Amino acid sequence: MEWLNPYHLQVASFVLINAILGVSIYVTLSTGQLSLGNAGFMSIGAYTAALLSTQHQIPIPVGIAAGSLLAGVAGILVGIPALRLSGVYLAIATLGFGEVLRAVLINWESLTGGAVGIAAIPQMGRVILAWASDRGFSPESLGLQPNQFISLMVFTILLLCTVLTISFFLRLSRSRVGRAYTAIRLDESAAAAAGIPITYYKVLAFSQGALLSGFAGALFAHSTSFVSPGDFTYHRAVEILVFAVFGGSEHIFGPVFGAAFLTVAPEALRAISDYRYILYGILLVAMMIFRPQGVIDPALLRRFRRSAKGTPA
Amino acid sequence: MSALLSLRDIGKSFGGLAALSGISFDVQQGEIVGVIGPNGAGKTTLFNVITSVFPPTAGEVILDGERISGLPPHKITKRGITRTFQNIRLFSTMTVEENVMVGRHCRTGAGVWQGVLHTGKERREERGIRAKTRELLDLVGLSGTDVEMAAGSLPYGHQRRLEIARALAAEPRLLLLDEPVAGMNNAETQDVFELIKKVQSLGVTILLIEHDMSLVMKACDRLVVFNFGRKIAEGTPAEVQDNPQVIEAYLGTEERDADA
Amino acid sequence: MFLEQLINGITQGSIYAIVALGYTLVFGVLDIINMAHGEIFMFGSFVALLVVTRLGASLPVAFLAAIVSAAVLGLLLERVALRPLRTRRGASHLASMISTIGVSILLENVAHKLFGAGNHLFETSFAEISFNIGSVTVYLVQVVILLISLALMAGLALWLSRSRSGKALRATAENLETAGLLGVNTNRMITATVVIASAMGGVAGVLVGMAFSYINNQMGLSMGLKGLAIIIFGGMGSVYGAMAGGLILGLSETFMVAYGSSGYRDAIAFVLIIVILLLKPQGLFGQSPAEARR
Repeated sequence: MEWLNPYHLQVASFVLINAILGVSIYVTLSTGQLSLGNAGFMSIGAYTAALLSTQHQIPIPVGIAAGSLLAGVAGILVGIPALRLSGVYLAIATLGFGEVLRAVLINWESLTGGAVGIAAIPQMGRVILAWASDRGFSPESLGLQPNQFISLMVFTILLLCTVLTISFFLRLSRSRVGRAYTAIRLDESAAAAAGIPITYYKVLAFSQGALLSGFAGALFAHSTSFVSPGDFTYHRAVEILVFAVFGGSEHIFGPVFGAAFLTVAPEALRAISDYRYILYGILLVAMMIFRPQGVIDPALLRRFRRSAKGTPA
Repeated sequence: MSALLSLRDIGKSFGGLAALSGISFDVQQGEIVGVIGPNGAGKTTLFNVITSVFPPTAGEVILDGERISGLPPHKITKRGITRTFQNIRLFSTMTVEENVMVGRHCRTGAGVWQGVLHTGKERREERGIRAKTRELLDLVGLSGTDVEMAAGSLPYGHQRRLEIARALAAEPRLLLLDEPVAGMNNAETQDVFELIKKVQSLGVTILLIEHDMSLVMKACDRLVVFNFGRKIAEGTPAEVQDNPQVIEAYLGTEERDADA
Repeated sequence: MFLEQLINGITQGSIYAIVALGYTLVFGVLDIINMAHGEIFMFGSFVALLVVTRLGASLPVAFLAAIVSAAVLGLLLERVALRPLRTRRGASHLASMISTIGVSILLENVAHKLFGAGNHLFETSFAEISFNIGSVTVYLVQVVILLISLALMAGLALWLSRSRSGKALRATAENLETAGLLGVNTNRMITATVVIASAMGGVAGVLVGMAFSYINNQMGLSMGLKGLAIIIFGGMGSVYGAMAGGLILGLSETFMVAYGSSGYRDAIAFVLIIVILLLKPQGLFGQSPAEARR
């Protein structure tokens, strides 16, 4: 299996983590709240998982669950005061939250290792290989080199997580709760008048977004084996924003597409990878002017579905 | 018999400006009460106070014996008061069907997990919501409409009816209609009149803000007249029509007319 | 020692105030946050540095270069990223903000390509000159920074309150539509506002170079975020809020570094944001929501 290139699998793995991050900002955006703090929630998930597994030998799945839940709880704590804010104020406040968190990560050295970060985090693929080897399994039996196997394992786990995440939120968007979210986004007052408890759903969406970011962070920690404050900067927050803005902010497939496209493009086009952030910048401006809802919008999907069914658009 | 809705000395000020002062009147179960008065008299502000868009600065709103002023808007909806808006506030990019389904929110209960896992209970609930939606669209005369259409692309008159359907989806005891026939011609107005009467016959009490006097006189059992944030008259349409203060509010006094 | 820290804080604070004024002017008129303001400030700083090191120019010329380059960037920003959104029906304020985020990323990375990473030395010829008032050592640089900042703030305040164009700007900030109906060329006013705000950012860029002797291409980001913190704290759109907020932040940071933990210095700005948003979301000098025209 020569073609199973660990490098490609690694890029694909980043696509999946970024897809989950894209969904995380999409969920809060679907109630009309733009949160730029998801890099912060991501760091909560990542550091929790890293610390639990390196310092307390907690099994990886438990650590990931703990990291996600902690991020979700943080989401509730941030989401409640955030209710008083909207639009620009909310975006900046959440950005500020992320930066305060990063300052804490850098300065609380005894807990977080400071700017150096935490290394030697158990890597999911390696752990599985070790576990399987103990039972007499060898990757060569599948025609794989050890490093191919490891990358494949990580990719498979991430694929499962991403598919579950997307399915979960796709189903949610088509349900009663999803309708409530959309109504709140479109007209909060009218939604309240129609009987929707605004506070409850806005905080719920906020914490769901935070939980997802934490989930992605924990997965990130156990894929790359190393986390540091530098992984969760303002740049990360903006990158997540670009996935949604470019890919599409009105349907869950939007940020997934955005994450996939913008993760693969710089890798595929080596020439532009150096200029990727310049490209992001231009993309943001251009999208706002020409197509503010992003590439994938509900209208496009409807046309897709109609042509797939063979009916004229 | 005690009133369904009781307004006791309602006042509402914004900064120094008193938009409402000393508003007191009752609405009996099953009535259609019209709220009329010149523009800026505070009628929509009254609706906003009743539905808790903002709390009153004075006075109380009492629904069926329970003090509701100060409750959050969605709780007031749940207790049975819904409304339409002066300048139509549909969820314009949601479909016709979804708009009415949203109205049904407080009478249903499927949460996150039930929705995601598509439990049997949730499926039944969704079927029920859709059935009720079809029923309501029929009632307001939109049965021929493509329910998958975006609500914002409906013609104006249909949008107003859709807003009424959405308000009815919550099974209100009291329906507040804010200028439901604004911008409509005589034929459309007649249709809405018949709809209002049909809704009344279903047991819903109605509070109606309107400027179209022919509709108001035909449809309303009683009228309350506002001017400059105060109630200046109350009574049957006939009584109110002859009230000199009401005439002055709308037309100005004779001296003023002479100067114009 | 305390007095010297006080002077440090005031110097720092006055630079922050100038940056914050740039944000507040644009917000007052356009109702948007120009997230690229910090990067324009940074660009101005580097242009000044280049002019001094490559062309051997003097400080006043450096100021001029910074002002001109920042003003040009502001002009481009307004024309390319902001104006098209104003004409577009239904574009939200958030869309404009996202657009300026795009420009800020663009500028930050172009700067990275042009000027390179790391710290660059910004030499001021008279940086060593100091004099003593009693037991306190005051540097000439600090005095110059303070004087320039005060002159700029006073000039801005005077211009806004006395001059015809300044009043036109305040009218436009108050109500765009009405100002237009009254004969103000609102497009030109908006462009002028962004240009002036950016130029002020350029001046601040030079002042920062003078104050710290080192500049780098990351400082646009941190200065930008701090400027935001200041106007949220002081009240978006409030000139006095920007000045007061800048001063408060400058003093807080200086004292935190001198008497507390220096690592948390940069976090103060964000703590200020969070505190004010919880206590008085409209800011110290901001109007309460009921009275605000929005």
